[in-house]
Amino acid sequence: MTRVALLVALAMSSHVTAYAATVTPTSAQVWVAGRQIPFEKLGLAFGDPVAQVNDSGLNAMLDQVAAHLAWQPGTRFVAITRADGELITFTVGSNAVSVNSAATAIPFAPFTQNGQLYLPLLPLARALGLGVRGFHGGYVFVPQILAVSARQDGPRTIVHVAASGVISWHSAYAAQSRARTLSISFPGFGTDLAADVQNRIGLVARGTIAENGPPGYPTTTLSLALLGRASFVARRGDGGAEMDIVVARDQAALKTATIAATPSAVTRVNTVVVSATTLPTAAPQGGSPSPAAPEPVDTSSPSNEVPTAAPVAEPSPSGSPMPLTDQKITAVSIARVPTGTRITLTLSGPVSFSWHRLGDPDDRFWLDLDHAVLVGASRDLDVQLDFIKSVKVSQHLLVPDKVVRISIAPSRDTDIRVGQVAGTNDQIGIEIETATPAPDAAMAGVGELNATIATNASPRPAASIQPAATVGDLVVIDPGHGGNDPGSLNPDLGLTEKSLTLAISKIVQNRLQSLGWRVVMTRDGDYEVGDPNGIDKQELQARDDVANAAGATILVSIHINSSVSTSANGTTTYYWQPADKTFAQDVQAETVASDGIADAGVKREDFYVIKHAAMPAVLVETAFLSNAHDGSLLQQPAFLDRIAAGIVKGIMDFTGGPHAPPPTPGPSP
Amino acid sequence: MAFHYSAAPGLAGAPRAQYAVEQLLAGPLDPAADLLTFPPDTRAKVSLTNTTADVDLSGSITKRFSRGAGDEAGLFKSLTYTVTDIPGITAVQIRLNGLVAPALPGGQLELDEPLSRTTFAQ
Repeated sequence: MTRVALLVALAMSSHVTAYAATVTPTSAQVWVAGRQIPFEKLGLAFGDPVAQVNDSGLNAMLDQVAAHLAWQPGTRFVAITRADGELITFTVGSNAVSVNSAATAIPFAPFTQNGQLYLPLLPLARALGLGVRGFHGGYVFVPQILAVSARQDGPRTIVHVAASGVISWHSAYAAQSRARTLSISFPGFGTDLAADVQNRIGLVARGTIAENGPPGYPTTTLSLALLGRASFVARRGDGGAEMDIVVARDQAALKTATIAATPSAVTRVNTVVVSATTLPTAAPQGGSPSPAAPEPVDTSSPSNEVPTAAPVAEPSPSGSPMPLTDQKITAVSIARVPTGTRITLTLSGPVSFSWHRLGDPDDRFWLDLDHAVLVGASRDLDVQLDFIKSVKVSQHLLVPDKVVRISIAPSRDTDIRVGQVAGTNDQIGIEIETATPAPDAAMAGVGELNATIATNASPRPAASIQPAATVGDLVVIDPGHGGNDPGSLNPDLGLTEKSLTLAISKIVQNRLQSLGWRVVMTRDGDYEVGDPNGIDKQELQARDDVANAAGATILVSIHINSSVSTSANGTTTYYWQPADKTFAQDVQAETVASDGIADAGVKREDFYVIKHAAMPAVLVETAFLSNAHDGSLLQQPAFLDRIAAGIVKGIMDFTGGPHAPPPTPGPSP
Repeated sequence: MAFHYSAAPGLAGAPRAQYAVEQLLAGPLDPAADLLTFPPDTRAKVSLTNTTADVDLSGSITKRFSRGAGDEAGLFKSLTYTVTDIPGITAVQIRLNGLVAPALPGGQLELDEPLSRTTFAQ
């Protein structure tokens, strides 16, 4: 250590005068991760922002991205550990910054003036992995999603995300314009990643990533198209700058204890051991190093390196899909309170909730109640405030979890507070404040209603759920059976119902899309739509959930018939709601006309899928796999195409085509 | 296609329903008859709550049903007509190994609500 200290002192004395930069004060602002950082003395040198190494603003900036700075007065090295453990070193007089020993040139070197060490901020931000975005008043440093990768680990698909700041996220699950999509949003994060992240890995058919929102406070959203219904957990690890999104069919496979730690590609420096007394000790070679030469940093020294333990498995409060009892919102009321207007929701039991508020110019607010069911229809509330454009209460999601959303659209920045109503144990209050929000008013929050009242929740709340608004050009096609349920079989012909229904459904999908329809498939591969190991095993309800959540105009479930009677043959279309008889007749007539086999008629049966769909729904038993004539035709792709063409014509006959006003659905039973 | 049996005279209520269901499950005397039958290993325990017969099925049908929806509707129509033919019984609640389920595995007919003759009325 003595030798090193001597060399450092020599280096200092030979370089101080070489960088007599002029520092001029600046009123430029610095924003990091959506927060303005107050610097004591922000200056400009060579036209770029610089800050003294002991400026509290610099530390605040590093805190925002969970980085730590270590510097010993009198030494020429500044060491900064990033949230992901990578080590950044600046050296006085060196026109390079080193990130984990790899050097990058910078416009000018850190310098000292009047005994103060100045660091250039833009190279620092870049070394921290932050996006550097200027605006007219200063600089915005945006944490970035740096890398996304996926791997299969037994029954789990693990999507790994690395970022340059402490990750926080919102998750959403939707079965809407495409098949099931799990979206993970990272508010405040930008990204330079290409839009398409992965081709299929395990349960993830495709991943896309996109940055949206204002450049100074963007939101990056990672969308994972899932093959079939799945559960997931999200967990942060390794200093908070990494996360794993773990997707599996079976919830038991998500238990964190069973998941191997993310393999670390590099040995990382633990943030806590880097301090002023254990600075990197590599000395410059010779007394007068070139200013452009990077200073190598020996990160393998045992004195400053501790191999990182496995990332701490931390279940996300928002990401855990643990089965909970769904609660009902039984009443919604509006009342004046001294500071504004309160919307009160009365619930049948405990729920957790989260809310978000966007700042100017988009001042929207939304509150999501998890595992909640809205009794009655979605509705608009009139709160009679001139700065509130609309308030909506709606069943936002049905799968995998039921979420009720209250969304408020103000015409100006509005402070909205959420909490349990004092003196009650079953009411959540949403207070729209008349006064404009304080600059530091919260923008998001989470909470719980710890109701203890007895609940009388129906075991089948699905019947009372109001479906999503109907989308006029959206059809849901349900290929019958799948996964562990093969449906009917004909081993002699080597045919299974599940593969035939999928083949026909895919032709129907293509034909409908070419006619301008959007098509959601309840499954697009050989798997169960519901969780095969789930508590309820409600495979058929899972298919209805897809259609109801998507707000489809119509649902067609496609099947292959079979009977112990080998003479049974032909096409049959089933309906349940009396109002769907016309739909069934249209599909039956066109399918029989197209496939050319026997017309076994339209029948009304109490079939689950068509009964619990919120839109006109029919189930087509296209042909008999148990019949020699029908069975031999089912071996021919041309016959499957004729069936599909007939179903599509029937859909067109009944609906009049996409974008047409939705047909009147039948009354609920 | 639907086919139901008359119950034995001399019995009433739940014992009569049990007897009738056993006769139905046993199938026709003439093995060549082209009739709709439950899988041969199907067993049933019948009890009565007010006017609803509780028919608890066991056997392979509770694990996987791989016949078409027409056969399925026909089977349960015959079961429902058989049981509701007995005076005092108007509906049938199907159970699978003791539990009420939304449907047979691989089946289409809704089974978590009692079946009655109106269920099958066209």
